[in-house]
Parts: sequence; C-alpha cells; structure tokens
Amino acid sequence: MWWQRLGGAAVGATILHTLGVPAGALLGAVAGSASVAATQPRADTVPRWVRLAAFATLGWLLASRVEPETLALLPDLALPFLLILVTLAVSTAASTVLLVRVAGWRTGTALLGSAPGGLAEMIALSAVSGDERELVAALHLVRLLVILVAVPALVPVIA
Amino acid sequence: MTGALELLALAALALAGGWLGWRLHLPGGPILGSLLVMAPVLLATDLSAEPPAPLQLAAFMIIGWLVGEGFDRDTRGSLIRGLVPITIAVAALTIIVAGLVWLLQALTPLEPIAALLVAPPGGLSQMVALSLSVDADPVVVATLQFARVLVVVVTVPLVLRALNGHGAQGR
Repeated sequence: MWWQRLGGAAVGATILHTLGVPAGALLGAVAGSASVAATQPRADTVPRWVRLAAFATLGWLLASRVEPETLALLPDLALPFLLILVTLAVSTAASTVLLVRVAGWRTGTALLGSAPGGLAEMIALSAVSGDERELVAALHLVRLLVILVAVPALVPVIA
Repeated sequence: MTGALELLALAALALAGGWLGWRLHLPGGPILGSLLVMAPVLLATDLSAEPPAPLQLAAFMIIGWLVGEGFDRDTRGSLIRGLVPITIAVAALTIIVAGLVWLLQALTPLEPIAALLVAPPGGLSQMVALSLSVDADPVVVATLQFARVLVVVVTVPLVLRALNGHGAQGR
C-alpha cells in the first residue's frame, strides 16, 4: 500500500513541478498521495527514516539560507510574533465557540480542530484527551490544503 | 564548488542533527535539529552548499506524501459529516489571516511575501517547505512558524485540562 501512495505522490510531484507550478513538488505530492489514500483505510505509510531524511534535508536547506544579516533581523521579529499570537488566539477562540454553539461539536474537539498547532500534535492530543480524532484531522487537513493551494498562488500577485 | 565527498559529509551531519532533534521531541524536531547543527557549520566555513536539487525535490515530495495520506477513507467520511462547519471555520480563518497579513505589512518590517508565509497557521514542515519553494525569507518564516507551533503545543493541553477540570466540577 505504501508504494501506491508513494507512486501517487511521485507522479503528482513530477507533473506539477514539470509544469512550473509554484511549490509544485509539494502540492503535486499532496494531490497524488491524497487521491490514492482516499480509497484506502487509515495507515501511516511513510517510514520513520524517510520522514527523518526529508526533515533533515529541509533543515539543511534552511541552514544554507542563514546569513549573518538574517540573524541580525531576528530581534525585530518580536512585534510580528505578538501580532500573530494575538490574532490566532482570537481566531481560535472564535472558531471554537462557533463549532460548539452552531455545529454542536464537543469543546475539546472544537478547540483541537481550531488551534493553529501542528497537525500531528493536535491529532496526538485528541487521541489522549478522547476527543474525535477524525473531525480534528479533517478540519486541520482542509485548513492546510487551503493554505498550500492559496499561498503559492498569491505569491506572484504579491511579488 | 562543493565536492561529492563534502556533500556526503554535510548530508551525514544534517541527518545526525535531524536525529538529535527528533530524540529531543521538539515540534519540528528533525528540522530544527538539522538547522541548528548545519547553520554554524555552513556559516563558519566557506561551504555554501545546498542539498542537491533532486534531494530537495524528494524532500518536498515526502512532505506532500505525509499531508496527502491524511485524506484517507475515514477522514473523507468525517469531512462529509462536518462539511458545513468545517467550511465556515476555514472561511472565517482565511478572512482573519488576510487581515493579519495586512497588519504585518502595515506595522512591521516584514517583506510582503514573508508576511504572507508567516501569517497562515499551517504545519511547521509544510510552511518551511513552502517558503523554501518560493524563496521567501525562509529563516524568518521558520522562526515565526516554529515559535507559533511551540506556543500552541504548550498552551493547548493546559487549556484542555482547564476545560476538562471545569467540566468535571460542573457535573
């Protein structure tokens, strides 16, 4: 089964990257892997060492972009960080209340679905707290998909 | 120009850093571990080597594979069941994030594209991969996204515990 999802990811990544779509390898892999996974039951098919290698490569790539001038900018990030935290706290609270009051979701499920944390961390927390993992995962995945599609599309517009 | 042997040594170093970050159980641990090990090495030496292009593509593809496989049959059922509230929640978030992007551009020294990449609450690895793909201040994006995920991962369990305690008292 892992090879089907890997194959889907590879085909999707190759097509969108070749077409020159911004972040095409990432987006194409999401589409390819999702189209295969949608017909299959849940399974973590990406081996741990493969994830580790991919994340380590991202860290290496990130490190290659670090310059002394970049490091000097970091103290200036306090204000943006504060703005991000306040805004996302408000949006999390609003979304949680909306999902509880209007849709009747459990408070924990609504909070874990709305919290702007990592997908894996929120799903893990839902497993521990007994909240509905599937709804939490669905909300995070849709949010992530919207971001992954919208942001690269907006980059040329803003640039 | 970096030789093949140097690239192999750098790859081994990046893997070792990633493994260390993973063992420390931080959110985005392997990315952070690899970054913290590699950045001083690359800054202190004349090496300016990026991972080879095929390796970069493979890494982006694997991150995509990880996201895509979340859309399995079970999640698809939940998506259909919760379609309306999920759509409303994501639409509301999109409007709020658009406002945040505007605020960040108006009030802070962030470049417009960096503001676009630090505002949305995506996963750490996905947002880092996106910023690297479109070459938009990846270090700034990674710093702010990592800080956000860290705050959320620390605070949400506390809020959940407080809510559960409140619920238990109310029963």
